[in-house]
Amino acid sequence: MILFFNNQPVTTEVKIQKLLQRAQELYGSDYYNLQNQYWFGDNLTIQSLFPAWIVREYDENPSNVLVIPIVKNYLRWLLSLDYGYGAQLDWENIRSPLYCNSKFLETYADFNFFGADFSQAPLSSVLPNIRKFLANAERDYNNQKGTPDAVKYLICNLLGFDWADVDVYTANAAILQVDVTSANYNRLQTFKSFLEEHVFPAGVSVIYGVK
Amino acid sequence: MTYNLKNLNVASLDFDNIKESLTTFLEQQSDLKDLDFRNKASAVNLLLNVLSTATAYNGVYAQYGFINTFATTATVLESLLGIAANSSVLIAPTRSAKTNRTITTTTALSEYSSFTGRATNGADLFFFNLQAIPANSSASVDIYSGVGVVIYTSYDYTTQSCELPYTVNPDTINFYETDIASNVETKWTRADKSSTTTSSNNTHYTVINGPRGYIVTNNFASSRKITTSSKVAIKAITSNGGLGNNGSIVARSNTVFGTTPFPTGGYDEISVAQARSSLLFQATGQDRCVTIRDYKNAILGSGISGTSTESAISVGNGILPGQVKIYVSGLGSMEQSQLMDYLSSKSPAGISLVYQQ
Repeated sequence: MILFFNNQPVTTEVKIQKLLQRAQELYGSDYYNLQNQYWFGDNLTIQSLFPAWIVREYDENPSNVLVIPIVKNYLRWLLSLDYGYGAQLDWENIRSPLYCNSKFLETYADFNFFGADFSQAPLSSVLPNIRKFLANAERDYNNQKGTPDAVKYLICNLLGFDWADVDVYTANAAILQVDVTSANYNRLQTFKSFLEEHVFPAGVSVIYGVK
Repeated sequence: MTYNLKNLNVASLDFDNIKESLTTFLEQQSDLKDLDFRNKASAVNLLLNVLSTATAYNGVYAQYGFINTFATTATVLESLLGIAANSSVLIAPTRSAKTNRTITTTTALSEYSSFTGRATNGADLFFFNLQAIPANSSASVDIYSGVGVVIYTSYDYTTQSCELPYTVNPDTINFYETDIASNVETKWTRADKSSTTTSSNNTHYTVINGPRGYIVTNNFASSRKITTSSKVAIKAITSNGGLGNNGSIVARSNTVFGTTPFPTGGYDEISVAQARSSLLFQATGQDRCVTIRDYKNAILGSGISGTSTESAISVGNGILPGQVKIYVSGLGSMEQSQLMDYLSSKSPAGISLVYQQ
């Protein structure tokens, strides 16, 4: 890599292009992705799967024993979550929303908001925020569900609004007022049906305002 | 719920999808460029068939493990009950009917005494009281319908627990320790999510869901350890499901009923969907109705006959402030009344519920 920058009299843009080209060449060959991570499947060595005489034959002339590169690449495909079948589940993290693979976040969203479809817009866009929401949801949301504080906690942590941009308070008897800055007003409206079924207290009217 | 199964690669169990994905991947590998993967007569295509089949089998196991790890995807009741235990939530696969009556005694009434009765379908019923009443006194007590009283003595001193089958009504479990030397019996106190343990009482136990039945255990830090110098007996009533709902009860010869409400709340074995709703309501809703979704989960998990279909349930704001409309299509009038009583006990103060479409 260093050679590109030291010896070629080209613009920075060209240097970056060549760097990307080089990185992309690495993907799909010996390396798993652009960070030079090896395939997880390579942890299962062909030495453990084939008799020694086949491995010896392969070492002497790889083109004579094609089954070995086929199985090697099969294992790469089988165990890769990003480029293959994804059989290498990180079971040790699967019950931790903070560390689990993002593919599993929907189950955590479902658990807390059963019936809301986080696989579709607009909720799919805030699905990664479920990690942040769950960090203190038991105390700041579930234990005080329906209160202005709980509603604000959800709007800011799950829907991704800035804390200073949101005010939630009781405006009048059985009326909850939610004020956001004008720049955020339309975005909040896209979550209206979710908020009304899963967040706001039943029997209470909600007024959306601009602060 | 619609999961994006295409992104969740392990969900693919289709042989053709698997083989196509594998073939496409292998074709891109520089060291396998000259192989004719797509020719069905080739040896490498045969090998792909074998590998794809093995992958599909593994995929079944992976998917089964994955979907039964989470409450919202579990397909097996036992999996769901285990997940519930991790949230300190107790789910009863079946419950028998219960009523609360004021009973006046002429002679002492002991715990688990039986009362006879008659079901709405004409079948004989038995009811049992959990609380003893001294002679010539009056008390308001819960009476449970059931097949009979069972006593479990298979207490495990190592794990400090005893397993009871899911056929018992968990509300009727009582835990007794008897000191062998002195023959003194101590009735332990039950702790659960809404009745927490206290430092002043170290004789408390809890009931949680296990893989094969209820686990009755005193194995937590603030509770006393039971040694083999004591014997343990756990009493419970075997559930008869919904049979006792609205049945009649005959007072024993030494008792008189002061009040006569009908027994309700019994249900036969619930479905996975009902168990899931019950878990979600108790775990994330804290067993109280706040949002519209909480009401729906509460209704689905209530066990009241006719409430197990989500599409039949409608919940929304009423025309008056603080009013919530509840409606379940096709629900009988007796069940409507049961449902409104059930929801009223779980709704916030100041909220009025109306049964209205």
